Amino acid sequence: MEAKRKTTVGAVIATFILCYVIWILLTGSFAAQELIVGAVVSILVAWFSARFFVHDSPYWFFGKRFFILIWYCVAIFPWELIKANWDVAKRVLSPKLRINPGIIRVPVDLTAEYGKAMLADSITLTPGTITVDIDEREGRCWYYIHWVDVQETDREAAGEIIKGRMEKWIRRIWQ
Amino acid sequence: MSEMTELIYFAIFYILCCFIVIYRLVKGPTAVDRAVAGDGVDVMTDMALVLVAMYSGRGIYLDIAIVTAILGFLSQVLIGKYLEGTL
Amino acid sequence: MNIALRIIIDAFIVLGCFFAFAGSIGLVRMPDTFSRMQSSTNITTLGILCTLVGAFLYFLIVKESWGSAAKVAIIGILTIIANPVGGHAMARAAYRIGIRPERELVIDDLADPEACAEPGGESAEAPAPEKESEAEQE
Repeated sequence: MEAKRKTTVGAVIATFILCYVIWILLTGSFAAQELIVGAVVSILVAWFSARFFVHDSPYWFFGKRFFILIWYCVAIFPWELIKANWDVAKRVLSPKLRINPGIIRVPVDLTAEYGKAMLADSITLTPGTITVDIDEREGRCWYYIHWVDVQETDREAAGEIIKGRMEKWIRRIWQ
Repeated sequence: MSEMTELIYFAIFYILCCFIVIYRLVKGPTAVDRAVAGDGVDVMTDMALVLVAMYSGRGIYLDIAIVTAILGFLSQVLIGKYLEGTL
Repeated sequence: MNIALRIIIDAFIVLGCFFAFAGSIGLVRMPDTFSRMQSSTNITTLGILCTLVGAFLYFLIVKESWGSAAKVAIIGILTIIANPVGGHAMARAAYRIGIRPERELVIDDLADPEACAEPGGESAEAPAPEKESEAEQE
């Protein structure tokens, strides 16, 4: 599992660009000394952390997928977030506190490492569902999800309800 | 000083919500409850800092809010790892 | 200042306050640890996102200082990326150290001894959900 990861030049460059952009945003000035210090610090940080940060090819992200990712971040995911937030807020503020918790195992058909992480994060961020653990079994990837209102105990159908449209769009990004 | 004087009342509202959560922080039966409540207090203090920065017009509060956000994340992951025994 | 812009910013911040309030009430009212965690995500997603959108619009349009707006955006992105990781670590730690709800879970697939076969073989601990006594440990 823990393979020896090598530091490639592309990964270092990609990490360097990200660090440098964050540095410029944080300092908020374009004085020469700030830019030089930022470049030195970014190169050092990128050199040491690139092998943990970039696991695939660092450049394949550019192109059509970038726009799909933007669309996912501004339209698909916020809509799911608003629906789930409103649902949980209504449950909490109602006097009877209707909850029905359980931990269910749902199948996930994603192969990319980043895609799995992104779907798990999306599920955890929507209130009402938390990814507790991830498991590989029978050739498939399974998420163990704590669900605050179990409407369905069949695993496939529950997966459809929990993941909604998110899995389809994430598969479109990271395939 | 901003002309939107209602911002300070929103900041005070966030601090009052913090006091609600502190009840759970004091009482909460397990360590996980306390850590989760601590994270809630951390995030809401962040928001109060952002609102105070808007109200007073001084950007230094935003830097403090960034540092608080990073520290809150680190502390939560560290407490999780520690409780799990894999630190 | 434009009055419509002011109303929009206030609306975003009030919405954020509402969700943060709901999350705080949920943290106090919910009966078990996992459900409390669910409620706290209510604070950390829409509660802060709405407030930060309001702050972003304020700094960008009213103050016209893009440095402050960028800092607000960094707080938002950082929280959105970092919080699920922390929540995931917390939830897994809570299950591993044996915290179970007082009420019986409707379905509990993690209690299955084959679930999550770790290399250390520590997955099969606490096979039966204990009531209340185990949840009191600190």
